[in-house]
Parts: sequence; C-alpha cells; structure tokens
Amino acid sequence: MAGLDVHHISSGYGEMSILHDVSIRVEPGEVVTLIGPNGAGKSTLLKTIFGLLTPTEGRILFEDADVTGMKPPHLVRRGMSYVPQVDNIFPSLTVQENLEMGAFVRHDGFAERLDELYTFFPTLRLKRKQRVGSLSGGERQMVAMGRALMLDPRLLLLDEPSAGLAPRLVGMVFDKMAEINRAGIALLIVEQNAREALRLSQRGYVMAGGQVRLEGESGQLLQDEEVGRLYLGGRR
Amino acid sequence: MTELMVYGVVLGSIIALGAIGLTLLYGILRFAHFAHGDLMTLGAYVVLFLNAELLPALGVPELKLGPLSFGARMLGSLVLSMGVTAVVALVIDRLLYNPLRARKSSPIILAMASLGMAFIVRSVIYLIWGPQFLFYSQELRPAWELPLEVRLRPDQVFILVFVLLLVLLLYLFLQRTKLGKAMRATADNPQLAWVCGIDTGRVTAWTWALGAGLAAAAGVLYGIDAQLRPDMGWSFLLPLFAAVILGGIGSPLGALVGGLILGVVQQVSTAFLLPTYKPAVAFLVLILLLFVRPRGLFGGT
Repeated sequence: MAGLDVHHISSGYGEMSILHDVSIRVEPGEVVTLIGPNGAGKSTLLKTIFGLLTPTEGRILFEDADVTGMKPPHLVRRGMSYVPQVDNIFPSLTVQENLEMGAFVRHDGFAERLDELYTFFPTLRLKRKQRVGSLSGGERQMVAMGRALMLDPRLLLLDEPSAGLAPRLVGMVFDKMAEINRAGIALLIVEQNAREALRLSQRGYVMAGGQVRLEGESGQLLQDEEVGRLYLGGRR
Repeated sequence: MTELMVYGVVLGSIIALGAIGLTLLYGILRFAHFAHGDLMTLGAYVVLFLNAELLPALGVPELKLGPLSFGARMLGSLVLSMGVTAVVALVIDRLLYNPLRARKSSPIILAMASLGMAFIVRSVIYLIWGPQFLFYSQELRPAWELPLEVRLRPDQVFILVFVLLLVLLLYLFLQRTKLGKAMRATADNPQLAWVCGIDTGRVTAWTWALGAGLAAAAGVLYGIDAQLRPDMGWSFLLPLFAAVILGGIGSPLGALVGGLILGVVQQVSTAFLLPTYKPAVAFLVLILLLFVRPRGLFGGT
C-alpha cells in the first residue's frame, strides 16, 4: 500500500500563493523531514496535506485514495493526524478530556487506546485529571501528540514539535517521535532542529521559496556541504 | 440586613441563570448576544400564555403545590417554555446569525444584529400582550417568618431550589457527557475541535438551546418573584453582562458567582441608597474588581 503522495501542488492563503508545484511522498512507516528557512512553505505544505488549505493545483493521494481538498474531520477518520505548532491543546480541559476529544469520532476501543497512550506517556497518566493549561511546555506537547494518536493514525504530521521547548525537553520529544515511529506510524516532520530531525528520518526535503529545492536520503543531506552551511547551522 | 442579603441571593440566582447562558454563547459563538434579556422576557410571557390560556383550554387542571402561589401546571409550563424559547433561538440563529457567520461577518456585526433582534422580540411582546404589568398569580402571597428577622416567601425558596437544580444539571452535562465536553473543547479551541471531528454545527445548536432555555427559566422565575413587563429582560441586560465580565468571560462558574455577587450587592445597597442607584452600585463593584483581577474572577490566564 502506498503512503502519502503529493503531486505537483500549488497552494496558499486566499489570493496569496505560497507553494508552487511541490511534490513529496512518504512511504508507510517512514520518517520524512522538511527543512528550510522561515517562510519556505513547510507549514503551508502540512496544512494543505491535512485539508486546512485547499490546493489550487495538483493532487494529494493517501493510501491510493484521492484526498485532494478533503477536510480534516474526514482525513482523521482515514488514518491521518496532525499536530499544529501552536494552539494544539484544549487548555481548560483535563489531560484525559483532551485525549477523549482526540478520540471523538472513535466508537470502540477507547479505554484500551487510552491505556496504551498512558503507557506510552507515563507522566500523562499521573496528571490525567489536571487542566492542560496548568502543565509545562513539554507536558503540553505530549498531550498534543497523544491527542493526535488517539485514532491510531498511520501517518502523523508534526509542525515544529520541539519549538519553544527547553533543550532537555527537545531530546525527550525526539525520543518520543522515534518511539511513535517504531510502532509503525509514518511521520512527516517540519523541524527547526533540522540536524536532529534528519538523524531520526530516512529521507528529507529541503524547501525554499515555496518549492522543493533538494531531496534525498537523510544521511546524504546531512553530509551535503551546502545544505549544512545553509540550513543546519554550519558544519559539525 | 440579613433579609436583604437573602433577597439578593434570590435576585442573584436569576441574574446567574441568564449570565451563564450568555457566557456559554460568548464562549462558542464569540459575540455579545444582546437579545439575551429579551429571550428571558419571551420565556416569561410564553409561560403566561401556556399556563393561563392554552393549557386550561386543553383541560389541564392546576394541582396546587403546597404553600407555593402556583401549581404543577405552572411548573409544566415553565419546562415547556424553556423548550419553546430554545426552539425560537434556534430558528433565529438559522435565519439571522447563521447567514452572517457564513459570510464571515465580524463579531460586532453579529452583536449589532442581536441588538436588532432584541428590539424585534420586545416589540412583538408589546404587540401581543401590551405594555401593562401582568402577574402569574393574583393570590395573596404570605411569607414565612424565619430567624434573624428574615421574611421569605415559599415562591422564593422554590426559585433558589430550581436554580440550584438547573445549575447542577448543567454542571453534570458539561463535565460528564461527551457533548458537554465537546462544547467546552469548542469554546477552548474551535479549530482543533473541528480537526478532531467534533460537529461544531451541532455544538452551536446545543449552545443556543441551553442558553435560551436557561434565559427562559430566569425570566419565568423573575415573573414569579415580581411581575411581567415587556422591558423586564431588557432591564436585566446590564446586570447580565456585568455578571459575565465579573466572573471572567466564557466561564459558567464565573457567571454563577458573578450573578450572585451582583444580586446581593444590589439588594444590600438599597439599605443605604435609593433603589434607583442599584445599577450604579453594580458597576462600581465591577470596576473595583477589574482593577484587582482584570480578567474577572475565573478568567483564563
């Protein structure tokens, strides 16, 4: 079965077009990172894939079905999920209620899935009755990821999952992403910590000016001198 | 003094019912619903129609309920009126606010539309029932003599109990049911709620039904305590908004506490000031509290 296949899409906000003829793919179970400078269109690409924006041209296929222009409530039912960079939680709801909302369209197996999630994020089990607004940044990010995982997605889109977190929490978020992927879930990640993200992924795309400029194996991109100089913060 | 405080709690519980609906609506729909007071009036007059005309004509007998000035038929009319007012609110939403939302009108346009709707509802009530004061019951209403020189009518005890019951039911609905949680989630983060597959249209409809039902109950309870006037709800509008802001916009618990504080402060002030100063006292409290807590008592961070 094919994973995600984005074919030559153009997209943007209303009159303002941002993406031009972008094609990427994510195989089942694969980790793919999008890197590039601010304003390159990485987040716009995630939003377009997830139906928050409608492409003006091109097609999006998910597991062989044409999902171009399909809205998020339908995509989550088809096994795709998305963690926005900001506003990705319900702050006045408890941890458990946030997870319940993530499973809103689920009809059975909620208790089992909740238990799996709590085993995966043990801190959340301890804080399940606390309001998420009162949690720390790292814990909130776990809630946001947990909410997106409640429907057993096969593809998870993550927009800057480590943004604004303390360095030691960044490591925790990357560990969790690796664990999520080990459970067989494909990840498409937009990340400022490009070096870390590429180490986690099999492949990566370098975007700039709303277009894909370079694509390749992660190892290859990590070695590439120009990529290193421009996007990975110098050689290491 | 104690008596005034008790009366304040009675008035405050009525304000609270209206304010809770108003704050729920604001949380989901993000506009100030200026027709809320007039939904209270509508609910009160619907009960008058049901209890004094329609139900007697259908042969429904009035069963006296202990020391209360009204009976079981009135209680049934109250519940029916909550439903009728909820339906009216849903129809208004479909005809007026929904097209505006679809056009992505700004909150101020929706608020102004609701102000227009307030005038319409009030005018219709004037046309049907006239401008004079009306009463549910002309019976003499003896009061119980309680300790601390408090005289309390059985009707007022009923008001307190009924408000408590509604608040409890609402709390259970919001905390325990899937739909109630979805409602809170939508108020918190509408886009994320939509992304989760929550049917936000259904949540909006339920919010209208709840808000309008509670407003109707508030209007009827005020009618039981005092009298019916076409401008009764309109005159409640300022205390309603004050209670919402005092409690923290969007917080039902805040609206409850805010309503009670306003009711008590307004009534107690009449011991020192002319009753005409009641609204001024309410706003003085509001201003003082906002100096200390700009987001209200239970406002978010």
